Amino acid sequence: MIDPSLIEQVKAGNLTAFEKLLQSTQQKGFNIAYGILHDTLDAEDVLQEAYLQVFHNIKKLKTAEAFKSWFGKIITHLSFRRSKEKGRFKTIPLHEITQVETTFSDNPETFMVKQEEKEQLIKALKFLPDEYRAALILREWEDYSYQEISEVLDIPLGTVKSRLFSARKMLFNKLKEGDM
Amino acid sequence: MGQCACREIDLSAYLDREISPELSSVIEEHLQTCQKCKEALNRMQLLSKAVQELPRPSVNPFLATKVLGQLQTEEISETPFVRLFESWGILSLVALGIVLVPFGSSLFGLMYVLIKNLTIVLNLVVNLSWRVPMSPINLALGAIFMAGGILAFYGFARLYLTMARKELVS
Repeated sequence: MIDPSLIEQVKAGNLTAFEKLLQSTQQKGFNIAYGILHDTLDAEDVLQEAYLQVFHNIKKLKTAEAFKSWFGKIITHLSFRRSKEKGRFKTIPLHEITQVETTFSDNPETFMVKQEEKEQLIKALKFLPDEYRAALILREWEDYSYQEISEVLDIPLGTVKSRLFSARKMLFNKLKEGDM
Repeated sequence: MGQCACREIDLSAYLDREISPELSSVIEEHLQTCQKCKEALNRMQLLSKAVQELPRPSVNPFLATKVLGQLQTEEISETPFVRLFESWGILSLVALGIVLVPFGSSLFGLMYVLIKNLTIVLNLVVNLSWRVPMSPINLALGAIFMAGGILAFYGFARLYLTMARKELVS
């Protein structure tokens, strides 16, 4: 958790405190942007813009505990915007997701993601629609709770649960198909 | 999985420790006897672990310098003079609104006629501009209109950039 006094100092316009905040959160922010965009340069641009927004709008932040969700929301929205600008934003209608019939109990032989299959997993992740990939990245890479993901993505808790499950199911399906 | 007491979606939430204690006990009890669900959970765990272990590049070590540099540049450019331009943008919008509300339909009608007869209008403007005498008053009026146009354009650009930065943050 971010030190509340640090947030207060940034609210007062203290640039040294802002630099401290930036140093302590930049890798986490970068992971989210990179996880969504899969491009280091784009992720860096997004992060830079996100920190400018943080500095200019931090007065709107009510509590220091809310920083994690608020910061995640800024980065996620900016990443979606960048993805749309680049014409890479992928979305998928709900009925198409429910059509993914694979279940985790199919294929009784051992399922493993070996080192050499990591490339396949990265490709499978890119195949996921942006909103599903974002939910999965927030959960798996940055340990966001369902409540925090719901605040970041502006979706109900139930949708977070189903979105994460669908993301995992699509990923599993794609790895099984192996046609990437 | 149809005949099972637990659903895969609940197993996924169980894996994330995001399930009520009651449902959690039901699932744990079920897992003792259901090999199929046990395997499904095991695969979910493996997949989750594999995603967690994916390599992530390190952030640019100069990010802080870049951001702070940009903030300082903004601070320098945020002079009262620049703020005046921003308010000029807002004033132009207000003026446009005041003109458009009572005279909007007539103005659009006039614009329609002007666009329809664009060639004639252009000829007329060129002819008239040659006939207007080069008096100091006319030159001053021309300069004022041009400066006003440039200021309004700059003001709108500043206004748009400020709004674009604030739009995402609530």
